[in-house]
Amino acid sequence: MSATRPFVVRRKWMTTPDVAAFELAPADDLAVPEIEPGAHVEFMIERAGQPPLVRHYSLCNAPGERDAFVFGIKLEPQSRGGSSWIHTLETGQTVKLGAVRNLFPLSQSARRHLLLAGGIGITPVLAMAQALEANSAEYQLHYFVRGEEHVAFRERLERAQAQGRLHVHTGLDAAGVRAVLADLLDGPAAGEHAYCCGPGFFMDTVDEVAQAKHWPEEGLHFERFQAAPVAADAIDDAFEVELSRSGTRCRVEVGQTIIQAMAAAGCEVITSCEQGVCGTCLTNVISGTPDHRDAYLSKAEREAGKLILPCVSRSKAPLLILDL
Amino acid sequence: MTFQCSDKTILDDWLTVGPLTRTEGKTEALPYRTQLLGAEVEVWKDVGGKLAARTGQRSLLIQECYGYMWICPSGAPRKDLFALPEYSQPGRRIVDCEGIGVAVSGLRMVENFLDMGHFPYVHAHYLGEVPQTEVATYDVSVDETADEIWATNCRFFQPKTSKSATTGLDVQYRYRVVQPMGAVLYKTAFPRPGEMDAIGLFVQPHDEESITAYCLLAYYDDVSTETDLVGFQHTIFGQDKPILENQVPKKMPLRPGIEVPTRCDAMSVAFRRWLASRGTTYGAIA
Repeated sequence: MSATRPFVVRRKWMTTPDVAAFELAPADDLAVPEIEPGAHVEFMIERAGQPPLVRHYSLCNAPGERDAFVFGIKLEPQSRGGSSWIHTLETGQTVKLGAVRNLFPLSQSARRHLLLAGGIGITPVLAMAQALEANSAEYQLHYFVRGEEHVAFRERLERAQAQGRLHVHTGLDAAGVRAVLADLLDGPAAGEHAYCCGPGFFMDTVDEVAQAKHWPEEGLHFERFQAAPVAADAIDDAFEVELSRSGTRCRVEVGQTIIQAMAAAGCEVITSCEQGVCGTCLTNVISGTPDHRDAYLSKAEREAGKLILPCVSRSKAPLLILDL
Repeated sequence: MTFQCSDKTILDDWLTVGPLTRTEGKTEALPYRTQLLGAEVEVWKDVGGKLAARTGQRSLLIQECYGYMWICPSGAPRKDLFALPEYSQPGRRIVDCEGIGVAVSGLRMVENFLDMGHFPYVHAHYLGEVPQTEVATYDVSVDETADEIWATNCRFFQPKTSKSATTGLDVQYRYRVVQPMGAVLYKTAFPRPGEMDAIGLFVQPHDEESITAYCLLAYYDDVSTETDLVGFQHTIFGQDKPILENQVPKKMPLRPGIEVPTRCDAMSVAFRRWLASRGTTYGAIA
C-alpha cells in the first residue's frame, strides 16, 4: 500500500440516478498532482470491524484542474463494500487517497482518437475527451447509456457536444450495441486509436468486433478494473512434472493431482490433509510457475513461486520441475 | 518476582490483567493481586486515580483501555494496543462478561475462538446443529501493516446465535487475531442483520498452561438483559472449557504434521504459521 493523503469531500451530487459525483479537495489545501487523462487513484476504505479495502476509481479531471479530484462512482447493487461505502460519504467528511496511476493513457502517436464509453465507463473517457478538446485533437466520443437520464457529467460534455463530437447512444440492446460498434470500428483510419471503458460485456463486445474488423492490437486500449472471469472449463490443463533428484517425469492429467500422478509413476510423497492446508507435502519449486490452489502459503510465498503444495496445486506452464 | 517468560513477542505485547472493576477500592497497601507470565502482579489506583502496577519492587507499564487493564511486561511495547473502534461506536452496547479460568495455553484458547468447525458438536443448539456441520470455504489474509490476521467471508447456520435470537440464522462471521493472546469476532447482529456485533477475547496468561479468558461484547441489542448476555457467553465458554482442558499437550504445536488440520482450519493454520514466523514460543511447542 502506498502513502496516503487526506482529502475532504468538497462537493457531492447525484449526476445520474445511480452515479454520485464527488469533488475531493486535499485537506492541506495544496494542489493535486497534474493528472494524465485515463488515470485512476487508490481509495482507502476503512470501516470499523472490517479489513481495509483498496479500490481504484478513474478521475474525470480536465487539464489544469488541480484544486480537487473529480470522480463519478456508481452504486453497484452487488457492491463488495467499496461503492456502497463511498455513497454514504457526505460533504465535509475526510477520506484517504493513495497513489495516482495511469494504465490507460492516450497514445502519443495517435492522430485520431475514438473514445468508447459504456455507462460508468465514461469517467476516464471524460478526462480524455476534455484533454483532447483542450489540445484541439481529432476525436469522437461515443457514449452508450440505458437512457438520457443516465448521461453523467453533462456539464463537462457541453463543449464536445457543441463541436459535434459527442454521440450518445441510448437504450440499445446487445445486438444494437454490436451494430453501432461494427460501424464505428469498420477499418481504422491511419493513425487511429480506440479507447474503451465500461461494463465487462461491453468491453468484450468491443474487443470481439475490433478483432473481426482486423483493428490492430496496438491501436486498441481497454481499462478493466475487474479481472476477466475465468471460464469454468478453462481452469485446468494437463502438464508435465519433472522430479529433479530422480529425473522422473510424469504427466498430470486434468482431474488428477501432482501427488496422484507421481504415485502412479512410483514416487510417493508424504501427504496428510490432501486439501492444501496442512503443509505436510510442501515442496520446493526448481523451475516453472505454480498455479496455487492451497490455503497454506502466505501472499508473499505465493507470489515468489518457490514453494508448492502438490496435493492440490497445479502448473501454469507446460512443465514444472520440483525438488524431489 | 520476575516474569517466567523469555519470549520477546509476548513480553513486548500489551497483556490484560482483567477488567478495571477489579481495582475498585484497591490501594497500594491493599492492591489487586493476580498472576501474569508466572509472576505475581499487584495493581491499584493511586490517589489521583491513576493506575499503577508492580511485580516485586519493579513498577510496570500499565494502561486502561476498553474498560480493561493492560500491562506491557517488558516496559517497551512493540506497538500500540490494538484498535477496537466498536468500543466507542454510537449505538453499541458494551457489556463486560468478565473471565473464566481455563487450564490450557492461551494460544489454544485463541485458536478455539477462531474455529467454526466445533460449533455443531460442542455448542449444539446454540452455535450449530448436526447435521449442518459443513464449514464453507472462507478467506484468510494477513494485514501486514497492523500485524493482524483476518478470516473473512465466513458463514455458518446457527440455531440460536445469541440471547436475543429467536430463530435460526445464516450468520456471517469475521475473525481477527489482534495479538497472540487476543482476538475479535464480528458476527451478524440478530436484531440488526445489516450490522455486526463484536466480541473481544482477551487472554491473561497466568503461565504457559493456565489462563483467564475475558470476554467483552460491543453489541447491537437493546432487548436482552445484561444477565442474559453475560449468561449466554458463560454458557458458550463453559462448554469450551472441558474440551480445552482435555487437549493434549496443553501447549500448542506450531510445526505442521503434529496436529493435522483440514480445509476448515485455514484460519488456525494461518495463526500457527504467523506465530512461528514471528517467533512466538510462549504456550507453544515450536
